[in-house]
Amino acid sequence: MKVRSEHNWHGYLFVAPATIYLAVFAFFPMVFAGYMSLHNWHLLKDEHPFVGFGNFTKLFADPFFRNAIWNTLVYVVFSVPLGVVTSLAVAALVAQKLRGVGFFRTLYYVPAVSSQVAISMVWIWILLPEVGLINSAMKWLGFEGTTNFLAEPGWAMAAIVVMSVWIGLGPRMIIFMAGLQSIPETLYEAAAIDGATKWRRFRHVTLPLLAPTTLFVVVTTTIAAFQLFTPVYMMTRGGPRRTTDVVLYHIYKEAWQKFEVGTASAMSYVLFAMILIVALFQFRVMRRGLSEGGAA
Amino acid sequence: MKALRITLVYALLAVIAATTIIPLVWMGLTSLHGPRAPIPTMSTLFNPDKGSFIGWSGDVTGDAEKTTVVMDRDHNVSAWFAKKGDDKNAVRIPDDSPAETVDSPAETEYSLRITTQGLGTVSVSPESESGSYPAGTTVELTAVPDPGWHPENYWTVLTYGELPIWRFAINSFIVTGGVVFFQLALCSLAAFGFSRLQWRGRDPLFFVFLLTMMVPAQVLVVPLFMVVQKFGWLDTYWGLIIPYPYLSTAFGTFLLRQFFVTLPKSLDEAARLDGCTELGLFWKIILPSAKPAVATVAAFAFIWTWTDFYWPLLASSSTTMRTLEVGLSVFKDSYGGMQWSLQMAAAVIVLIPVLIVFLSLQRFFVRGVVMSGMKE
Repeated sequence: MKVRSEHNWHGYLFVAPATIYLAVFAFFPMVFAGYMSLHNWHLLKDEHPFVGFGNFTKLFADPFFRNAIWNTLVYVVFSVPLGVVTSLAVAALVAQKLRGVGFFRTLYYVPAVSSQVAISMVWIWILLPEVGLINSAMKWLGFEGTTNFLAEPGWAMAAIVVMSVWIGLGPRMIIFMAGLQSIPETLYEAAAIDGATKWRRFRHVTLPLLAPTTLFVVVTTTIAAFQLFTPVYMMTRGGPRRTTDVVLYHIYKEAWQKFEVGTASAMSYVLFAMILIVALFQFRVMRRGLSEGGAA
Repeated sequence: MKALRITLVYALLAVIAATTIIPLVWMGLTSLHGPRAPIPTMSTLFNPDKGSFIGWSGDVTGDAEKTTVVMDRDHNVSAWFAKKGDDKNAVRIPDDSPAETVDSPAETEYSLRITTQGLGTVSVSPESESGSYPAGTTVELTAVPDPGWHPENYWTVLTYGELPIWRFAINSFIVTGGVVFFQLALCSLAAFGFSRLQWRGRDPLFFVFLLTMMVPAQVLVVPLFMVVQKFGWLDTYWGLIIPYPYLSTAFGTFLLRQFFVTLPKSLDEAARLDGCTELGLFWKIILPSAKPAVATVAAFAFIWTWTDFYWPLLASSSTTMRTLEVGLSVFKDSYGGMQWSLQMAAAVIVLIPVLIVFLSLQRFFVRGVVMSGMKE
């Protein structure tokens, strides 16, 4: 058609800036990272000998890196379900048509848009032994002793998990609310007529119809969880005893403290692979759940 | 029954709200406290059984001007010990490990130097009139804070010489403004090209755009750093604004395209009948109609960039180029240890602009989050 070819080259012009930008600042770095991961590359040295997959094999043999992967997985396994369930619960709560609900909605969203650095500092303060909020409250309730959360191997990670769940509550809640609102009232009414209790209505109407939304939240939360950095940097520096040394922090140390960008690139690709695998897996599992569950 | 349910819901909402409000209020209150060092009593530090450094003598409260409590990362007190009269060779008790042992025959006396940066006092128990104690004494140190409210903390933070918060704020504004503007320009042009025009390869290229959204930032960061270094943009505004790996251009393009697609085609036709060029159509008609979507992308970009930490941390090295986020973290690390009231004041200062922007643009946030969640 005449119209089509007439406008052909204009389209290219419009998308050109963004495409060039992505090519230079997204594609090229990605490929370059792959290239670097195959070399022994130190930022300050001139020689970059080719080592093939040597970096990768070294990584998998490295107990510290394996520890980092383990920590990251622990974090993901705990923070994602907790985060999804709590935000769904809060969304259900906040979706009720009550007065002033908007105020609560906004309030819950505040941590997510706030400075992560400032929030980390506040949480360090909350978790302080003796005088921190939590320990003070426990003392007030009559508990003896005091816990230095960020210095105890198990507690530090737990604290970061709780903090992340708290921060991410807002956006997840909003998405679930949108999903909840898209479920037609008539379905609930029909179920009620059939004699279903609130809980059964939730289980058999809400949950299945919410499945696509849930999938989205689970996948995005997981992807974000793999990228944990600021709380670790601010609060624990990978400690205590490397229990919070997650992969992204490990990469940071490798690239900007040891200047080994070859291994750092290899690490980032490993992380990338992990994210991809987990995300695809989640997709598969939930898709199957969707079709077997039989959404209305 | 219904009233009960409603009350229950409100109660639950309030409890959850408390988890947000209480830390923020606590933070605000702390920022107004007198500066203090919250030291737990550290009697075990001086426990002779662990073979660690023991014994001290001397005046520990000393001169308020010169005294500083040295705090390490784990909030423990560490103290400097020096042989009496030999301050130059002070030995520092390490954080919490008793591993460092020093020969300490019972007869040797050691003086304890405690510094409090003139903020409150440190009381020592047991007290000693003569100022000396036999080796092996276990001591307890307690910090006694300055009572009362100290709003001047904020001024102290703002005027703290080595860390110019004003400068950080200006940097954040420049960088965030630059990023928002730049990304809006790129994304709106591209979104227009992907939605209102037909051309070969349009949809495959869009798919490729989407692919870049899936690449996590860490893969990009290291090579991006080197690219920026090659361009000579490190530690400059260019380096902070242009290569922003997080603000995925694809995301903004995606959002805007979703919106543009919903605008009626009749707009285009009418404009073309009037002899409008592509650019004119874009600039005069489509863009103004898309104000809500554009505002959404801008709102997201603003908050995302303003609060971002990783890239500004890497792309800036000199203090004068730091943004507020990074500056705040440096503040925490460098400002003489755990001056909590000052740190909280700094955190409040950093949070305020973000909260203002968020509260005024909140409906765009909700819309944006929803738009990104609803996949076609």
